[in-house]
Amino acid sequence: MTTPVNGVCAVSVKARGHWYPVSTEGLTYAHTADEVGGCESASFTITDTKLRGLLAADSQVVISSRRTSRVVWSGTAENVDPTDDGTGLQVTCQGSKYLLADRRFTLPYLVTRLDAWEMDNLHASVLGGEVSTGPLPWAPALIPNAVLLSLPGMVTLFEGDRTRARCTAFEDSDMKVGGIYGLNISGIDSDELQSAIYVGDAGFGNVPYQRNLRDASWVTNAWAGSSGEFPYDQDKISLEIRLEEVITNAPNTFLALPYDRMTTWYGLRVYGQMKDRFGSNIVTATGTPGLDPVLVVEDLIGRCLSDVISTDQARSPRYALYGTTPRYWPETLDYSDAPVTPLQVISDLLSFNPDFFCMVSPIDLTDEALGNPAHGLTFAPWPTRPRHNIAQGDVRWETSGDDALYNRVTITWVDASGRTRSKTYVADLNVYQDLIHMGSRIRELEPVDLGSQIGSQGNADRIAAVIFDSYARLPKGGTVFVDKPLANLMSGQMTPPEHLTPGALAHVAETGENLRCTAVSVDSDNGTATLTLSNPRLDIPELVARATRRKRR
Amino acid sequence: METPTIRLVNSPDPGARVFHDLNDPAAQTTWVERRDEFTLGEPTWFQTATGIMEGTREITIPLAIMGERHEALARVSAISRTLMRRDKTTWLEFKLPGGLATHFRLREQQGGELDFGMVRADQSHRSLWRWNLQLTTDAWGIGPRIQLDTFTVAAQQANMGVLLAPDIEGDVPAPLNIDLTPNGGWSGWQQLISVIGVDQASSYVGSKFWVATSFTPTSPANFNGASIEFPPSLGASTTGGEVLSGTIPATVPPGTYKCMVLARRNPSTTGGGGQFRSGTKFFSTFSGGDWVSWQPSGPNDQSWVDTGELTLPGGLNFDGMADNGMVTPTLAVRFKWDGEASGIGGSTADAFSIDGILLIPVDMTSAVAGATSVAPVWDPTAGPSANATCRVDSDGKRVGVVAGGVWHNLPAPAVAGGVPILVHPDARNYLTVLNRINPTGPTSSTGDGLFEYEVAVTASYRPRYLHIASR
Repeated sequence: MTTPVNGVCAVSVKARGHWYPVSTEGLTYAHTADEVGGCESASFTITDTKLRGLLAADSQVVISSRRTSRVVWSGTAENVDPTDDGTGLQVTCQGSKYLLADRRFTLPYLVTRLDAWEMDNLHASVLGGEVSTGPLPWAPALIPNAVLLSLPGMVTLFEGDRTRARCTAFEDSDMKVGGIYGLNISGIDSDELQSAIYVGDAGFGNVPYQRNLRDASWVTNAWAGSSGEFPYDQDKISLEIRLEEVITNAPNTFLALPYDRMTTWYGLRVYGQMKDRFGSNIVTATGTPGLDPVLVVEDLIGRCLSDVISTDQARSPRYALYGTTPRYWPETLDYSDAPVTPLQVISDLLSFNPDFFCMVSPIDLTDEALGNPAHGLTFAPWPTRPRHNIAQGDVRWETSGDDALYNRVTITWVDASGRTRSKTYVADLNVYQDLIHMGSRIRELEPVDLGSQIGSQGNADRIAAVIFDSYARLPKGGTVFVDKPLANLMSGQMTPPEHLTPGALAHVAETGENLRCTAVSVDSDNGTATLTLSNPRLDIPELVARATRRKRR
Repeated sequence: METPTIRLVNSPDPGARVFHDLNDPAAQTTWVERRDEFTLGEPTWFQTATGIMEGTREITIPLAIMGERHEALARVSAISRTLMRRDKTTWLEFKLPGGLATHFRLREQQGGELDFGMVRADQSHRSLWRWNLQLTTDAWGIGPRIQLDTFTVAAQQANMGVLLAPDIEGDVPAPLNIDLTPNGGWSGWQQLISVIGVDQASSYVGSKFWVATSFTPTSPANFNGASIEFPPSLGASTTGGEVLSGTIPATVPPGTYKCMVLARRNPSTTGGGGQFRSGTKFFSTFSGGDWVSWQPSGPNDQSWVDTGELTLPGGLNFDGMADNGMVTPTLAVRFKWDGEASGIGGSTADAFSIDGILLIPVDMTSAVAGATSVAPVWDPTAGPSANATCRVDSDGKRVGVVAGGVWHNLPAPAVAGGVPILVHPDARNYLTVLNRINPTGPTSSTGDGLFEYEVAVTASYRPRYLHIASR
């Protein structure tokens, strides 16, 4: 017979519009701060018989401390099955972090691929004009990939004749165009032949965003809203070469040399129009080659998660808090080919930035009652000061399943011109001294494929460094069993086991180290918690799987 | 001759329906024989950190049944049917002559399959049949419901914790049912109800509330005598200014407390919110919990802001170290404006007030167990209306609205914390009741975090006995 235990935590479930406090046994729940974390999972047996037939998958579940009435975990029921003896219900739940995985969006945050640029036939007013992309023979060595627009030769040109290329990445996506960055080199330095950028519907008569671009013009700081120049809420952006007026000192039937009739754009980056957590456009200018990951998370809150993630900055820390914290800005972040979940975007950002963590907090019942977004989202650097104090001898050291050292990895990606590239990286012995005992032995990790969404030379270099940081060092980890309040070194208070959360450093008295607490699981019946301490290895299979998923789509 | 009452009934209350009277020698049908097999069993149980218990006992009742074979079998069948009632609770009532009745709750499916093998004839008396009825029940028996004295929480007053009763009967913690009935409407839609039992010798006298005037405002210095108020200039602070600090009286025993800050947005303030952080000070060094925000939605909004738990008297209880008794504990609260709010209106100096601080025990060294608490959160558009009663039914493990004595079909509130709420025998039990915990709206005309009307608090419990010999 199922017997209620009703440990230090209580469970409430929402079934058919009503909340029910329920008696449980075997209640456990877990939080993680590894990959995208937060409320992860829970399981328990409901011993009340009144909920038979009422509780179903997707019913809301809230776990709270009986002592403090603080909500410590929330999520939804995933499986509800009768117990073997038929007297109760066995319930397994998934935590609130999966709110980030139940929706998909097309998000061209930072588009560098050249195949996004197509000949805009609607506005190519001259037959024979051409748009081509790829490595060009006269390109500067550092930025070989370019978009080239040319007017036709051997035909009579008139004022207003043009050739235009349109960026298709934002059409039918969930973002608008937010900015563009690139180097323009035109064949002729004259007032008559001009390059231009159009934002929005580039029909005849519309005023271009920028025109009269000359040779070697860098287009910088072009953000929606900056100085009121860049138009808002447009999903189209085009490049143009245009005969502004008939050239007076040359035949207008054709321009003398081929490169006189063309304009070339190098290193083009088109940014999506970023939003803040309130859904307002961010007008901060950028001229940097990448995109700030904390800004991307802020955008996800305002654009994709506004119904579930609170704007309360105590629960969802503001990106501005991390203004000077070092972090890697991906130089390509382009989810325009297929919709992605916010969870996958953040997961990619964490792959580049293993010194950050992300957690979705439990529900706030007050906000829930008001219909407000009721969860917090923390995307923050790992703290540098320890919070949990682990007494002498309390850690059970464990070796992880894969503690082998690796000194080589091959990373494959699709570059801006659509070419598949790969590079094999070798770990530097001067940096990773754990490798020294391997001598000349080569152990290579499974190849990693970044695909095109996050693929670039710089991104590959970064991932390689991140991989070596975890696979070219000996892993260290362990577990701590907590059966009484744990000293919190940051607050000076004692934290009861049911309130413990990961995403904090644990000071291990035994070794003097500060290790990351990456997971906490709580056993409510016994009022105990188990902390997982580790410096976790980047999940290579997960990286590969993500790349594979992209290919399949 | 003593003839104890042993009956199967449908409720532990007087007037319950009697399914079977198992000990009625006068009727010459079924009675309990004085044999060695008779036992009320030994309780086995365990207790969690909050005092919630779980356990069972095995009761054996040697029955004698008089009658022809078919009559005896029919009697056994009838009793077994009662024992196997699903989704209904059956109670075993036991009462010695002149004593009080004790009821044992039968566990579901007791009696098991109807087993004719359990019936055996007494060879010496062909019409007397014997059957050892074996029952699994809760570890404890319960006594008649005890109603505690009603007390009131006055309007506009912070409740500092009420002594429920000088003595709670029983051997083990018992579920407490609580009714809150306001003498008017409800301006709040989230309450906090917490009970803790402390040693009889403890100096604890209930949750400790201080009006803000008993603290020293450290920044800024303007102080109007009723509350501490902050000018908008504090908004420039990104780390938060310390706004209150003061010595904690020795009457607050060592333990962990929930620190509630009673905050109010003032009439002339048109927007914005704040963040609070509470902690303790060791000389000039502050250490405290995480920032907690409160976003009032209108002028005069007032709420209890839950800033988390504090360990007092301060200092970390490392292994091998005693509680830090030699350092005079200091409580401190820090505050900052929410940098992303729409801004504090105008330049008025009375934008925000802290009216007081309350410490509610979570666990204390002088407590017999950790507190039990529950915080119902109602749908603010469909919560309890005027004069309706909010009922915490610890026996039935539910929280809801009672109107006219019956459960109302309003949507049940979301519940943080849980039921049952427990009272502890051989301890002094203190109840704390608060109105409006962290709500951001809607507001009433006075936007009151305190109860807007007088609230009658009635509570009752059924004592639980592990040992019933003396009753």
